[in-house]
Amino acid sequence: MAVAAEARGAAQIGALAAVDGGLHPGAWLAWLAAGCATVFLTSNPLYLSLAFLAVGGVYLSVRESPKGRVFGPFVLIGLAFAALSIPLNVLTGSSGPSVLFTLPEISFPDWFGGVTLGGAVTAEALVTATTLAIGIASLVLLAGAFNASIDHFRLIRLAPSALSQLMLTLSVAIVVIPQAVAHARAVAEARRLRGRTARGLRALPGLLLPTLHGALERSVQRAESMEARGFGGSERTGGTAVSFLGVVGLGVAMWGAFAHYWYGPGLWPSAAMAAGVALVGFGLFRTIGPRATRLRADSWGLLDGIVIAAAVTSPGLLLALRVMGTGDVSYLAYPEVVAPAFHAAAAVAMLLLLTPVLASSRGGAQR
Amino acid sequence: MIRVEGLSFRYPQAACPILNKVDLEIPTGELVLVVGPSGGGKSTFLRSLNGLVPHFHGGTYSGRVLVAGRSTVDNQPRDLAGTVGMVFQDPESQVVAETVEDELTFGMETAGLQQATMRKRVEEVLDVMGIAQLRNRRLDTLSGGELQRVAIGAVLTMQPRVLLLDEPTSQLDPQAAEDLLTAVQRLNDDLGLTVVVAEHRLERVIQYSSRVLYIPGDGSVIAMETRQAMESLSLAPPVVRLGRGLGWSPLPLSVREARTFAPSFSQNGMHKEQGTRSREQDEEVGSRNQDVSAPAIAVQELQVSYGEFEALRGVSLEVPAGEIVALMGRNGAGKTTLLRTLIGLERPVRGSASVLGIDVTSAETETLARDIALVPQAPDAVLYRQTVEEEIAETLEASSRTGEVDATLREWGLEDLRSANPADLSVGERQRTALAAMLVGAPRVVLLDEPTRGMDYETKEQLVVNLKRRAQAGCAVVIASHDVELAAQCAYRVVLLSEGELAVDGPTREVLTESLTFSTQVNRLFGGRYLTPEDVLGEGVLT
Repeated sequence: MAVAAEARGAAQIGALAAVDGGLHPGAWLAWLAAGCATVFLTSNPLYLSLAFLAVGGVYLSVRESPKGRVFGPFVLIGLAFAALSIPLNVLTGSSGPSVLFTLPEISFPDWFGGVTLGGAVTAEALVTATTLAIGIASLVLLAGAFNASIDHFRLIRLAPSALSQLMLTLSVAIVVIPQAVAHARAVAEARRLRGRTARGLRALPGLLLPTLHGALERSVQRAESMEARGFGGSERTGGTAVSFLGVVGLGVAMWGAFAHYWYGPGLWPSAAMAAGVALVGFGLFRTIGPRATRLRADSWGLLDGIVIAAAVTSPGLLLALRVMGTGDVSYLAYPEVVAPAFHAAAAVAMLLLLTPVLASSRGGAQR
Repeated sequence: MIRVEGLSFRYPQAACPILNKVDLEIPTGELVLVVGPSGGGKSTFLRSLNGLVPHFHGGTYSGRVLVAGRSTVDNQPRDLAGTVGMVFQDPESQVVAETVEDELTFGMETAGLQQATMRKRVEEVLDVMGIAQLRNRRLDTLSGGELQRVAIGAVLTMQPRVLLLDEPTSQLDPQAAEDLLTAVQRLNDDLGLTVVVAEHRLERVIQYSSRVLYIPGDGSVIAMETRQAMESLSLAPPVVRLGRGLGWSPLPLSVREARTFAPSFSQNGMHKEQGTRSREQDEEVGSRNQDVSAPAIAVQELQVSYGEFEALRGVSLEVPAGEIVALMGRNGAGKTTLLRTLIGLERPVRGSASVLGIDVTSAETETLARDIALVPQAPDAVLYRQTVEEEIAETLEASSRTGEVDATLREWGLEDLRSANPADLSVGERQRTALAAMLVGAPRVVLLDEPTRGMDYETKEQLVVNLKRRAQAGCAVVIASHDVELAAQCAYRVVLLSEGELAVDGPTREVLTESLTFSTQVNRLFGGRYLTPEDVLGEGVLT
C-alpha cells in the first residue's frame, strides 16, 4: 500500500514537472536573440540565405501549433512585403557599373520627393536588394516561429517585476489577437448573410471598424475581469513609480537604438541608450526583493541547454570571423558585384539556428 | 454577508438612474437569484456588489454597499478580490493565461501567496469544479462550458466568501448550462458559499434558491421569497406555469416537487387518454401549410468535411414551405454545418442541396440572402452598424428584400431603442436586435442556429409567436437547438442528427415523448403525449 501510494506521489510530481512539453521560454528567447544578432551581424547573401533556410525550417516545424495558425497570415504578409521590397529597391535606386537591362524612366517632380523610377537596373542593386529582402524575411520567420511556439503568459514570468505589468499587458494583447481574427471572420460572414459582399478592398472599412470595435469591447470586459480578480494591487510589483521608470527607460533606450541606426552614431543616440539602460537597471535593482509568487517554475531540460549553447555559439562564430576579417561576414555589392567568400565556420553558425527543431517535434507531440 | 443601504446609481450618459434607493440584505450562505427583463440593471446591480460600480464605470453614486463588513466605496474592486469573486457572461473575454493551470493561479500569484498554499488550492478547486482532467489543456481548446467552469475555478482559488455570477450560461448550450448551474449549486450547498447569480435558466436553480431579487427595470430591486416570486412573476419555468395553471399549492418549483401532485391527476385518466389523441391534434404542435407542392428545402445525400473531419455524412432531408423543423443533436453532430450549407457558407464534398429551387452548393451567399435568412449563434458578430435602426435598414438595403423598418422595430419591441448603439445594449436586447436585423423583409426560408441561448422566457415567447406566424405565411423554418421546450412549443417535426448522420426524423410529439434525454419538464412529469403546460391545461378534463 505504502509503496503504491509513494509511486503515485512520484508520478504526480513527475506530472507536475513535465507540464510543458516544449522548450523553456528562456531558450526560445535566446534563440530569437541569436537569430536577430546573426541577421544583423552579416550582410553576406550566402550566409543570410542559410540563416533564412534554418529559421524557415524551425518555423515550418511549429507552424501547425494552435498559435502558429493564428500567426500564419501575419508571417505571410511579412514575407510578401520582403519580396515586394526587391523590385521597389531596384527600381528606385539602381547604380553601379554592371547594367543588366534598362527600363523606361519616370521622374517625379521635386515636390514629390524627386524620386526616379526605372532606368538602368544593375546587378549591384539587385544583389543588395535581394540580400536585404532575405534578411527581412528571416526576421519575419524568426518572429513567426517564436510567437507560434511560446506561451506568452509564461514568458512574462521571466520578466523582472519592474516590467511585469507592462509584459502582462502585452501578453493579454496577444491573447486578444486570435479572438480578433475569429471576430473578423464572423463579421465578414454576417455581412454576406445580409447580402453585402465581403470580398475585395471596398469591403475592408466595413470589416475593420466592427472588428476593432469588437476587440475593444472585449478588452474592456477583460480589464474588468482582471480588476475583479485583484490585478493591479501595487504591493508586489515594486511600486508604480519604479514600474513607470522601467517603461520610460525602455522607451528612451529604444529611441536611442533607433536613432543610432537611422541617423548614424552620435552623441544623442548614445546618451539616450545609456540613460535608458541606466533607468531600466535602476528599476530592476529596486525590485530585486518583492516578486509575484509562482506556482511552479518552468523546468530547464537538456534540449534547452543545447538550444542556448547553440544560440551563444552562432553569433559568436560570426563575430569571431568578423574580427579576424575572413569569410566576408560583411559583404557589399558596391562598387562592383563579386562573388562573396564562403567560410565553413559561418555555415556551421547558421545551421546551429536549426536546433529548436529537435524540441518542437517532441513538444508538438505532447501538446 | 451583503448589506445594501440606499444605493442609487446613474451611468454618466443616462437620463435616469438604473438603480434607485435600493435597500436589502443577503445573509451568509444563501443562493440568491437575480431576475428581470434584459437591460433592466441586473449586471449593474451585481457590479455594485464588488465595487466595479462605481470604481470601474464611473457615474453618479450614492448610498453604500458592505460586503463582509467592507465598504465597496472605500475599497477598490481589486482589493476586494479575496472577498468577492465575480464571473462574467462571456467565457472568452475573461481569461488571461494560455493554460488552465496558469489561469487558476493568476489571482493567487498576483496576491503573492505561498507556493504550498497555491498548490493545495489548485488541487481543491480542480476537484470542486470537476476540471481535474483539464489541468494541462490549452484554454483555446476548451468548449464554452469548460472555459466557464475554469473561470469560476480561477475565482474560487482566491477563496472568496461571496460568488457573483453575471448570466454565466448565456453563451452556453443547455447541457453545458445545466452542468455549470449544478456545479454552482454544489458550491453553495457544500462550501456554504454565498452565491448571487443573474440567470434566465430558472429550471435548474430555482429549487435551490432561497430568495429572488426581481429587477423590473425602473431602478428598484424587489427581494422576494422564491415561491412567492414564482407565483407572481411572468418569467417562470414550464413546471411552475403548469402548477400555477392547475392551482397547485404550495407551488412546485421542480419536476420532483410536482410529482407529489401528479399522481392524483393520472387517476383522472390522464395516462389512459394518451393513445386516443388523434394525428390531427398532434399537428397543432407545429404549423404546416399543406397545399404546397415543391419542398422549400431539399437535401440529398449531403456530405460536408472540414479537412479530415466529416461533419455531415450523407444526410437527406426535405422541408416543405410553411413547416417548422427542429434540428437537434449533440454538440458537433453537424447541426450548424447543415444550416451553413443551406445558405452557401459551406460547400459539400458530395450530394445536392437546393433551397427554393436554387442549387445552394454553387450559389453565392450574398445572392441567397435575398430569400434565405440565417441567424448565427453569436448575435454580437452580426451587428456592426451604429444604431438599431441602421442595422435593420442595412439588411433591407443589402439583400434587396422589401420590408419596413418601423414595423420590424415594433415586431421585436425595439421602438424605444431605435437610435441606441447595439454595443450599449444588454445581451437580451442585442439578441432581439440581431433577430430583427436578420429576419426583416419576410425571407421565405428562415434558419436559426441555437436562437434561445441565454434568452429569457419573454423573448423566447416572442420568438415562438413570430416563427409560427411566419410559418403560417408559408415560410419554411429550421431551428438548430438543444432547447427541448422550444421544439415542443413550435416545431411540427424534429430531426435528430448524430455524428453527421440523420438518426431520427418524425413528428415532434412522437420524437420528444419517446426520448429519455430530449423530453420536456411537463413530459417528464406526466409522460404520455404531453409536452407543454398548454397541452395539459388545454384539456378541460384535468381542471
